[in-house]
Amino acid sequence: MKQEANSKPPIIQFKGIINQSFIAHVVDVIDDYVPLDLNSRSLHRKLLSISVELLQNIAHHGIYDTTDHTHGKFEIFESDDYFEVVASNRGTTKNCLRAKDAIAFGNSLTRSELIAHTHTRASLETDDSAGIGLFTILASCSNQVSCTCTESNNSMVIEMNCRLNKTANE
Amino acid sequence: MNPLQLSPTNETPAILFDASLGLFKISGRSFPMDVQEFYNPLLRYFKTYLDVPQPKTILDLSLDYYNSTSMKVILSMISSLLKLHPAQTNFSIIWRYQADDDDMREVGEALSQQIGFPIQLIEI
Repeated sequence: MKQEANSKPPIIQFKGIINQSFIAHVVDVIDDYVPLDLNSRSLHRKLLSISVELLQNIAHHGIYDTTDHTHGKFEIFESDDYFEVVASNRGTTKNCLRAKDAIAFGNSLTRSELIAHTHTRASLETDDSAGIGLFTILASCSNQVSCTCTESNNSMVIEMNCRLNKTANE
Repeated sequence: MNPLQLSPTNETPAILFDASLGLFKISGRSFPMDVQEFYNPLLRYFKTYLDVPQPKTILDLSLDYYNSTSMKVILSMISSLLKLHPAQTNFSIIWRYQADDDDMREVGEALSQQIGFPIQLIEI
């Protein structure tokens, strides 16, 4: 998907440690880039939602190797028709399998069902915020999420790729 | 209990919790990195209030954007209200959304269905 979106320069392209200050910077960039007017409010919120959920997930659950700062990656590309958000980090095999299972399940649900499912999970007492975040992402980008896991240096590199159509209500 | 008031930041919402009025307002954006650090003092205030609540409690939500962990906290507050008032007559929940903001209206409707309680959806 990414190659198709590369017709314009990336809005953000980053490799390194993803922390709170970087997330705040990404939010500022999105605020500046996508205007909060009537026509683009939904698009703005969805791009913010996808980005924040991906980044906070990496910040909370990513595995950092202090000798290698190149594996935390976050990018936003734009084409005429859509935004594409790519994030990757090192994680456990278990997390990778969970993400793939959740995406497969989420892709079988409609947007309304995803919102309802997110609320159901959020109302549970368990502290599974990563799972809730993934369903929030799926609802925001109408199920256009893919996840790849690649083994590297005794851990997994998990890459999430989310496409957000610019057309309203898609 | 004195009112608890917080100004909004780019990541955290404006808060007005006033136990004397039974009013609990959350408005703006909510995606704190450490959701516990931000919301735990608010939840403590809310739970203390629920020990001796006013005859009517209002949870007034006006969110532009929230992350999934913030929604978890909001659902926890709603769950506490539902447990305290099983008859569901002594409190109201307001969900405000911008005019023509179909997404947030849809979320409010879904939330209402989820909790089985008629949330007031108010267009602003």
